[in-house]
Amino acid sequence: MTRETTADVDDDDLGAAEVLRFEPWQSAVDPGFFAELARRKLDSIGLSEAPLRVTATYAPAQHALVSSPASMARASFAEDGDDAAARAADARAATRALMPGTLHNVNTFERFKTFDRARVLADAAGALWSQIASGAAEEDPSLLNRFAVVAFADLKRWSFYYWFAFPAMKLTDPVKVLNPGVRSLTAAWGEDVAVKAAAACDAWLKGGGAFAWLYSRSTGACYSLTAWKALTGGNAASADDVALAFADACCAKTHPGWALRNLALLAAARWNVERLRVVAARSPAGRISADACLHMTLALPAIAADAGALPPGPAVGWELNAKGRAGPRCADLGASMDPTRLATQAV
Amino acid sequence: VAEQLMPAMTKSAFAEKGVVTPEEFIVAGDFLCPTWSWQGGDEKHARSHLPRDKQFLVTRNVPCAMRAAAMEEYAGKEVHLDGDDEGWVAAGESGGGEDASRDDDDADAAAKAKAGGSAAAAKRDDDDDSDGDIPDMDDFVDLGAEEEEDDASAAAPRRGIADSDAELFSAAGATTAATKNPADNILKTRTYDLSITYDKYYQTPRVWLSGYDEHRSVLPPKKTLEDVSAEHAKKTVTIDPHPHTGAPAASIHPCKHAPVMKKLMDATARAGGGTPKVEHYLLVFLKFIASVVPTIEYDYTLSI
Repeated sequence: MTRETTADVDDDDLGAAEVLRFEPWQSAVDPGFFAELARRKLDSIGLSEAPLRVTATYAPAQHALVSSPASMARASFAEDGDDAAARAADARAATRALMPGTLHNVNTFERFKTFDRARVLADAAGALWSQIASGAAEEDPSLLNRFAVVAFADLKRWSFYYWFAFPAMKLTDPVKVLNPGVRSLTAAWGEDVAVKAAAACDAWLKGGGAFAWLYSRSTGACYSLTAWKALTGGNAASADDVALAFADACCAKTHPGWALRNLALLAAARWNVERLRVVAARSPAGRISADACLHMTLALPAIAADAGALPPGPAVGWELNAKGRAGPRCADLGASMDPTRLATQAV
Repeated sequence: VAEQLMPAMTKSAFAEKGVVTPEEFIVAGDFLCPTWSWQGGDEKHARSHLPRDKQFLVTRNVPCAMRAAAMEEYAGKEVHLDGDDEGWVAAGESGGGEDASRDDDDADAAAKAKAGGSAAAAKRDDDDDSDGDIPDMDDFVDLGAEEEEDDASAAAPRRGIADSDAELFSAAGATTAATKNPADNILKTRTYDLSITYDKYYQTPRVWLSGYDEHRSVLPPKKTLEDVSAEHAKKTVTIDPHPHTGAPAASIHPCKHAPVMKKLMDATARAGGGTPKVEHYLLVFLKFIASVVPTIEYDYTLSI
């Protein structure tokens, strides 16, 4: 394997490797989402349990100690037309990435308890895999942030039960990180190169670029994921020059967020690389900063991406609840939404 | 209703009266970017006196590691404004600035200072949070759990981290369930989405708070009030639908904003010389908001 020659700072010992851990997504559902769900339930959804298309958004980590969640708000319901365009414009203005999702809203608590969640997760993971294998996810990386949510709106008590799944595939040979492990971009590339890279990545995201992109150190420019073959020509030395960069919601200094998990799978399946440089882009105070960004070199497993092939592993990704266990969450909005309670408070 | 009939103000009067025109609101808002971002919101809630893509400002996921009561006891630096502003409090000279830069050590120190009583309060808090009203969550048939138990690529589940840390922190007298995993610098804490809208009737900005607990579940309004300083909690903070998103959110009523802004800008002028520029209006406004919600750590980025 060709060693890095362009930057002396990056004199890595790429021997030993350990399994890379990804911080799972956290969901944060705004009361506006529940209010809109309640309105739709009464006005249009009725007793239908047909899946609904919803869209969450997230921003690269903005704080050194707090990761960004996958946020749902009223605008999450907009499917297309002006509302969806307005949501996209707002997401772009706030440098937030879109996450396509499916909402399964059921009618009773009993249905919620017994809902076939295994199938929901398997379906989402199956769609994810086919979009990776077909190349669709390379064109539109937001497809990698796919999620599903099962919900039950108890409109008598204004309580909302919900459970998110952010699908990923458990590989028999998991993604590993090569020595010297995960460190800041400045530490990996040296201040000058890192600052230049951070500025280019900031411009990419602010210019409405996808949440995952390629950065070439030799040109100092950002490219879409589809440019991988053109940039590297399948040549290992060029592959060392090109890093996979993504907007990382995780704030931890020791590991990246869940979004990288499916990206790494895409890189393994589509680009057939064994080693991949990754930049996890984070933007404290609204700007991507070299000190906040992480750099790591991944060792990727060999994965065949035949369009018809089965997913390379079982799907995982149910969000843990407040107790840290596999289980649903509940939002009690009686105090702010129940008309009778609001009426008694009004003076 | 009156807002719809009133014409938007056009004549600048921020230095004289503490109010701003919609145009000045935009200029001052631009100054807060990119820490804050402009949003256009819903078409049908758009206000014609503001540009379609600059209806209100947001900043999300802002940590709030401890409750206002603990902060007040710790800081005690606020300056009461004299005159007819009864009840209003201005961020003291050091108070306001330090809120932004206050690091975790301070938070811990404050927490320690508060030891006994609030540890008990934190306990009560936990009890409230314990999902008591969720029917039979524990005998939930979990179909996917075993599959995921040994997922080597998932970062350690929060359970172990949170529990051991919670003990550690409560021994030190932490006031909240905000816990930190030393291994990966992640803080479990309340967070807020903040937004600033323009109130045409009062001709001032208006701030909206939407809170999440340590587990990112919606924070009930009653608990949001724990993050509002005592002077304001019952008087000026109300739960109303956000004018652009419709989501019920806590808001600081703007009826006294103009005189307070006027006072703060005069104070700034005396301290720094010269009348503050209109670009800085919202920075001053955020200093004022910091006195109302002292523990929400949004970033001022710039000082004036």
